[in-house]
Amino acid sequence: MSENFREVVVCDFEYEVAPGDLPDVLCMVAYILDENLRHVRRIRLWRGEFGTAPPFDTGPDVLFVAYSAWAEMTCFKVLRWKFPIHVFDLHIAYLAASNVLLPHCPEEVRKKPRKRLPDACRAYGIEGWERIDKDTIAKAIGDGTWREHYSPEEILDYCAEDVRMEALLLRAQLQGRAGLLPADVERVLHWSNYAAKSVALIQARGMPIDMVLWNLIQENRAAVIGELLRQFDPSYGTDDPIYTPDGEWSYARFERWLFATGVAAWPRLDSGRLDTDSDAFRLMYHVPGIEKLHALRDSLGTIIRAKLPIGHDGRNRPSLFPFGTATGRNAHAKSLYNAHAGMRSLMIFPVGTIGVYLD
Amino acid sequence: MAKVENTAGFENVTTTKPEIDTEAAAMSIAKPGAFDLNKFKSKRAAAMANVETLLTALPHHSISQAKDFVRLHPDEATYWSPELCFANVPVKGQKRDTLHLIDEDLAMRYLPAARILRFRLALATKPHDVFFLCHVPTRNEDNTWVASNLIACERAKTHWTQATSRREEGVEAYKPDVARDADAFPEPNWPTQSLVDLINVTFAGRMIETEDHPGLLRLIGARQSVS
Repeated sequence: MSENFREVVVCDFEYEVAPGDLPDVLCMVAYILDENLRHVRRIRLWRGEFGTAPPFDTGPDVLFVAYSAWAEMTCFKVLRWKFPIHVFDLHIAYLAASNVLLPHCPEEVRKKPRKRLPDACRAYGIEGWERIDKDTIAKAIGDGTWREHYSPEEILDYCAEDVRMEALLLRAQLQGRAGLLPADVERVLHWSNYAAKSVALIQARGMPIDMVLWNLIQENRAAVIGELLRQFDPSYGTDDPIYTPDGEWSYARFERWLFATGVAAWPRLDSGRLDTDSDAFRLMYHVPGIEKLHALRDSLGTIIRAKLPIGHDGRNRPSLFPFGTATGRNAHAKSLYNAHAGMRSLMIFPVGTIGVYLD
Repeated sequence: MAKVENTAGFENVTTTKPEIDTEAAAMSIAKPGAFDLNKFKSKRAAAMANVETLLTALPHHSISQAKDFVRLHPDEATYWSPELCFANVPVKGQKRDTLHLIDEDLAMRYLPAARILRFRLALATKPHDVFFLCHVPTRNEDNTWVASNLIACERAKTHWTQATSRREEGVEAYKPDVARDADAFPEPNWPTQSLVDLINVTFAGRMIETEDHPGLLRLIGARQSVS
């Protein structure tokens, strides 16, 4: 017969973070629950009060609970704390219960349901945050403008409300409700331990970027875009090019170009619009110019919008969102691995080290 | 900054206000069991004495599409079929057409001759018992591709043989290469299931035997029956 966790720690951090940087921890609130999930005590720490180890046990008899626990584990790394042995990620438990393929009606426009903490709580019938404008405070904390509007005490209260809701969500997930099966604890623990800790370790290290090359590209963006268009846009130099000179794609002009070049058929979405995702392009590689156009689309986005989050240490730290897609893959939109393979030459490893890419 | 209402040895700890419903039913969470290698220990032999692994649907393709050294069953009478009739049926959602077995009378009545494929199926294997059904051509034997394919199939009865296209050399034929060392790969452990059984399971649901078969309706452009 299996033994129960002696203690459960439900925890949340608030932190300021610039794109690509590691979090600058602001505060932490933790609820300590006993073996029966009854509240025992509460811990609130503000910046400057963090010690060299967590203010709670993280050993084999204790379960650490958080929503999107990879963020909490990243804070652990920043604070140089040792990871808890057992992590239960409420977000992963929610994804496991709710990532099911529902019957699809082609008449309806499908909207990806959001999976934030309030969304999960609502799904389990838990009400909260009535007196708090959660989105506004979260944004203000993230970008550091909270100082103009909130006191540290208010930020701690906000953090504590999240933790209170997480503790309620934990109970709800263990019990389940209509349409949401009770959490399969052993599996959620396995997924959470892998996802939270490995993502935190990846974030702590970051992907080293060739900043000399990156800055060169950014400083000469117009010239780089112009040359890429000249080389890869099959409509370049015509009266109606697919891309504007500053590299903006036009759906309407792409459609006209297909018609003008005699491409009679192209994959379409249920909505009737042309499918412009990578699979559709690959399917049409037999059409002259399409393979190059695909490479151009995948590369220009990275260059034009400079969407790589690069920290002050020259390292790329995209949010990885483990299990974030409908099929359970990582949703890492701002990663070099999500751009055209040619963009990966922007990765550079320190002299004397080797980067191994395990796909 | 933080509340200092220490009761339990920690700084910044409070027990003053229960934050969640203490009346809620007691619940507990079981720790995951300790790692036990025995859980994963294999308890059955790979194949119990005299009981081999039942083969399910096999891939089927030509000897050249194996892109590896191949052996064909040496017992042609038992493990090579007679010439059979096939038709490729487009299936929604699949990039490639799906090969169906078709009754010859139906095929002749409904399909143009060019849509009817005819070849034999022979039980074959790549090294280390990776079995498949090999398409063995039966028509146009004077065509150089067919002739060289047949040579490769014949040779593969006794030797590990690989058929490679010579198109890039400008030659319209396959090159049948025999493995340099006869014992490069272990001899096949041929299954004892009959060829009929293997074909039956491989083409399950893909045998056109009636006029209202959805595959045939698709091929002749007839409305699918929804009953």
